[in-house]
Formats: sequence, C-alpha cells, structure tokens
Amino acid sequence: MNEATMPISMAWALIALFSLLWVYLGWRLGQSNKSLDDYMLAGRQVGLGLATATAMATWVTSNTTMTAPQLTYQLGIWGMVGYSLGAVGLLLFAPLANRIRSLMPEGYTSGDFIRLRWGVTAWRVFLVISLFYSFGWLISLGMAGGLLVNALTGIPYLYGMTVIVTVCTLYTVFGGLRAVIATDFIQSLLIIIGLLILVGVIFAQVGVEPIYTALEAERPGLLNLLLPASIMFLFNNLFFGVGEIFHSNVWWSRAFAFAPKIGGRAYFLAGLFWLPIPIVAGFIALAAPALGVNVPAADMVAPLVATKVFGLLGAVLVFIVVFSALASSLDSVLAATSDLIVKDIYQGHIHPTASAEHLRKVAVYTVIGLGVLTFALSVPRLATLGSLLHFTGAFVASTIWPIAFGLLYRKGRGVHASLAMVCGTVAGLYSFFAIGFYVAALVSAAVSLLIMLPVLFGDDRFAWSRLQSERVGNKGGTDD
Amino acid sequence: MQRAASRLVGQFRPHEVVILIRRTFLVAFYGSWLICSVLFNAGVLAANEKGSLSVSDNGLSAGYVSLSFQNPNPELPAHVEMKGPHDADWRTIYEGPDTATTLSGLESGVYQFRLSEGEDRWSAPLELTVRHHSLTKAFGFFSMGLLLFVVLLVLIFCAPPVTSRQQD
Repeated sequence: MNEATMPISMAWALIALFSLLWVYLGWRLGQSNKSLDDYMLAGRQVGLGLATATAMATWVTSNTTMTAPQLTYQLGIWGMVGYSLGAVGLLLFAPLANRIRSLMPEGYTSGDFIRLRWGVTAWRVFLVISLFYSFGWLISLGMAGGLLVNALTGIPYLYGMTVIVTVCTLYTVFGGLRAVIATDFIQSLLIIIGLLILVGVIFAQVGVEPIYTALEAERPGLLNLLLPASIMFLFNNLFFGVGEIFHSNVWWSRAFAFAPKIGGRAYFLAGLFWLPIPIVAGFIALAAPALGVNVPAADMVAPLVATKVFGLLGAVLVFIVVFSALASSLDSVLAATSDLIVKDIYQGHIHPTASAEHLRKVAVYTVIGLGVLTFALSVPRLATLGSLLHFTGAFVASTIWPIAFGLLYRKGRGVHASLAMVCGTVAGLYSFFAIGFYVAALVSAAVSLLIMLPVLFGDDRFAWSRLQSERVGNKGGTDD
Repeated sequence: MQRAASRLVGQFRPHEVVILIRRTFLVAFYGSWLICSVLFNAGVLAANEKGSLSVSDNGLSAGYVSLSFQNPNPELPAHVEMKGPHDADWRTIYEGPDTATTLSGLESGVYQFRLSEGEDRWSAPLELTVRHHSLTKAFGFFSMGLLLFVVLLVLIFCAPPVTSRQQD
C-alpha cells in the first residue's frame, strides 16, 4: 500500500475530535427522546430542511465518495455517469414517500407495509432480503472506514474499522433517529464543502487538458463511450439505486419520521442535490494517470489521488469528507435495521405483546448487537467495496415491483410478490457470477417484473384501510 | 405424503412448531448469508493462484484487472512489466514499494505480465485475455433497462390516487 501521508498522532487526534463530537451530539439529542416514536422515528415531525439534509447525507455514503471513483477508474466516463443515476431512486421515491405517510400514518417499517399488503410469506422473504442487504451495506461501511484510515495514516485496518463502527454505534444508541438526522445535517455540509474544495484544487492544479491527454495515451478505454460493460452498467446502477431506496427501511423510516407532506419535497430535493456528487467524486479518479498515481486496489483511488495532489491537507480533507459520509450512513443503517429487527422480527415473531417501553430497550440492545456483528463481519475484508455493494443489487432490485405495485395499485396477491422477490434474486445472483456485477440488479428487476406484471389483469381489490391496522395487530395481506 | 406430513407436525406441540419455524427462519437467513459469502469469495480465491504475480480483482470482461505480487527482493522496489496486444516489447507498468496495481481501460486482446526477480531475471509471464462483451449484448441489456425504466415511470406517474371509496 502507498506510504501514509498523515502522521498517526494527527490521525488519532482527528478521529478523537469527530468521535467526541458525534457521540456528544447523540447523547445531547437523546435527552429529548421520551417515547418509542421519539427514539425510532424522531417524533414523526421532521421539517423540510433537516429532512432534505438527512436524505441526501445518508445517500452520500462511503460508497459515493469511494466507490464512485472506483467505478470511474474501472468503467470510465459511463461508470461515473451511471453511478450518478443512483439519484433516480431518491427522485422516484419522492411521490411514494407522501403516499406511504398518508396510507400508514402509524407505520414503523417497510416490513410493516409488506406484511399488511402482501401477507406473512412475502413479509418473511422480504425480511431475509432486506436484512441481507443491510448487513452488506453495514459491512461495506465498516470496511471503507478501515481502508480509509489505513490508506491515509498507516493505522492498521482493524483499528480504524473498530473505532468508526464503535463511534457510530454509540451515538446511535444514545440518540436514536433524532441524533442520526441531526448529525446527518452537519455531515452533509462537511461532505459538500470538502468535495468541492478537493475537486476545485485538482482541477486548478492538474487541469483538464493533461488529464485528458494522459487518459487518451494510457487508458483510452476509459474515454470510450461504447465500452460494453459500461453501457450494461448504466441502467443496472439505476435499478440498484431504486431497489435500495424503495425497499430499505432506511428510507421508509424517514418517510414515517418526516412531518406530513414533507417527504415528497425532501426526497426530490435530496435527489437533485445528490445527482452531481458522484460525478464530482468520480472526476478525482480520472486524474490518477496524469498524476502517475499507482492504484493497488480500485476502491482506494480517491484517497490516493487526493493525498498526491494536496499532501497532508488533502489527506485531512479526504478524511473529514469520508469519515462524515461513513458516519452519516452507518448510523442510518444501524437505526433503520434495528427498527426492522425490533418491529418485524422481535415483535412480529417472538414477543407480539411487548410494550413500547420494552421495545425501546430492545431497540438499544439491537443497535449494540448490530454494531458488534458489523465489526465481526468486517474483520475478514470479504471483497472490494464495489463488488460487495453490487452483489446486494441482485437482492434489492427484486423488491422494486412488489413495493411499487403494492403501494400504487390495489391488485395482486402475496404469492406474486413472494415469487417475484425469490425468482428475481436467484436470476440476479446467477447473472452476477455468469456475466458480471454490472448486470445483477438489472436482471433481477427484469425477472421480478415479469412475475408481477400479470397482477394488473387480476380481480383482487386491496382495501387501503388495512394498511392502517398496524396498531391492532392485524397480520393483513392477501396471502397465498 | 400429506398423511406423513401431518403425522410429523402432530409430534410437536403448537409452541414447539412456532419455535421450529423461528429457528428455521434464522437458519435460512444465516445459511443464505454463508452460502453467498462462499460463492462470492470463490471467484476471488480462484483468481489468487499461488505464484509471484496473481489476479486480485478480475474484471477482464470489462477491461480492468488488479494484479498482486510478492516482491522477491524486498530491499529493491517491485518492478512489473507488461506486453499488450500491440506492444512489440515489454514495458514497465509499475515500479515502487506497493504490492499491487490496477490496470483499466484495456482493449480486447492477450496481455502478458512479469515481475522482476533480480538482475535480468523475470518471473514466468502471467497471461491474461481481455475479452469485452459484444456491443449487441451490451445494447441488449441497455434496451432492457430502458424498457424497465419506462414501465416504472408509467407505473408511478399513472397510478390512480387513493380515494375514500377505496379505503374499504
């Protein structure tokens, strides 16, 4: 690995500073949590500013700041543009968010919706997919933390990963979703300002002409707009993003937490603000050949280029940007996955009569357990960030149509939704190994649609009021 | 078959059946995670053949590859050379302290790589073939994606609003 740029003492000081800041904010904001709704859904009254910031910051993950440059370095111009199509997920979730809030004013999780709309079998299939995805995302975030600290400072991967996972777990435990949303606001500002400075300086110091000349001479394929894998990747990434957002409780819990009629505008604005970020981050990777930077692993290209251009200042900037991006996502996934486990697995399968107070305690223990599990699964460094992330695409893209059909139309039965998710996932996994990561989500979504489409010609008529039966313990659905 | 199944279920009390279902669910979840992890790593493990130069990230059908190497002379910088489909001679692609390098934007063809083992001594060449997918296949997937996207847009923006009559 390249020689570290930041002295270890400075790195530990930065880590300590940000760790204390996030944990203090979590503890402080946690003081005002009085009920389960406060802890899990920030009181269900989040306004437009915070709502937009949290949606954008959560979607700017370490995957955006590190995987967007990786994909640019591997797949060229279309890799960069394709990654930015992840914004479509946020934009299309905007109309759904308002509908979710009005159809399920008392809802807690995306699992609630699947159970009430499609029945118990589809709910269990959905939970397996959703938890699998959540663990994949958590591991990729834990790994990114360790890799980043290692590349910039030389601190061993295990130490950096441990600190970042521990800090995020702590402030999520203390503050619940309220702390997550508030810290997201600060983190989103740090991310945008840091990225703009980084790209501005690379643009000014290296210049577009030398970057283009070096690419044309050394890696012409990256400028090729007809690079086959990149063309295949474009819509794959779009559907991966849509699948992630449509199904994940990270976004549903926010739809429940935002004040009525805020969700639509917040998700739309977040999508617009997010759109250029992967292009800005990806641009950093294109400068690597012009700067003569060796890239041992493609997911490290952004920190390596930044430190080459800026030296110590670049390392500090990259550290702040990626640490903020990591924290803003890790806390969100921890909180949302904890909600899913508490409401859908613990209350849904183990202790249906649990009181709100009891559930709140379980939520705290669940966040801690998830933090420990994330740490344990991040230790072996299973794969590169991009591969790990797109592997989960095969799972999540299969949920797009069951969610969309279920929320927007009254037709269909649980058996359609279950089959669509199972067959879509299997087909996506097959294509991941047989063709490549850049088609897994697309194939999964296509097969899932083929199974869901006949639903439109059925006679079923789901009563929307059944989605509001959460509080009376109705298992709902039009099961198989 | 049905009788055998009901006899099997009859051996358990109701709460035992519930426990069984819960455990089956947990085993299915962690089992699927394990299977996928093994499948996922199979490609990586297969690529990491023993030797001085190996593939650590295989994206040959997309024109990129990461190579890992064990420098036989740690006191000297590692030195890796490549001969591409249009190269008449070997050329240096990396010289320095790292133990890996990533190449991308490669066109279709046969590439050879070798690692310096000391003065004028080189490792056996590692031969890799980059074979991009055909444009027909690429545009096939692109068209499929475009079609799915149009369907999704129509589905979302042409959905009927929720009326009070539909509540029941």
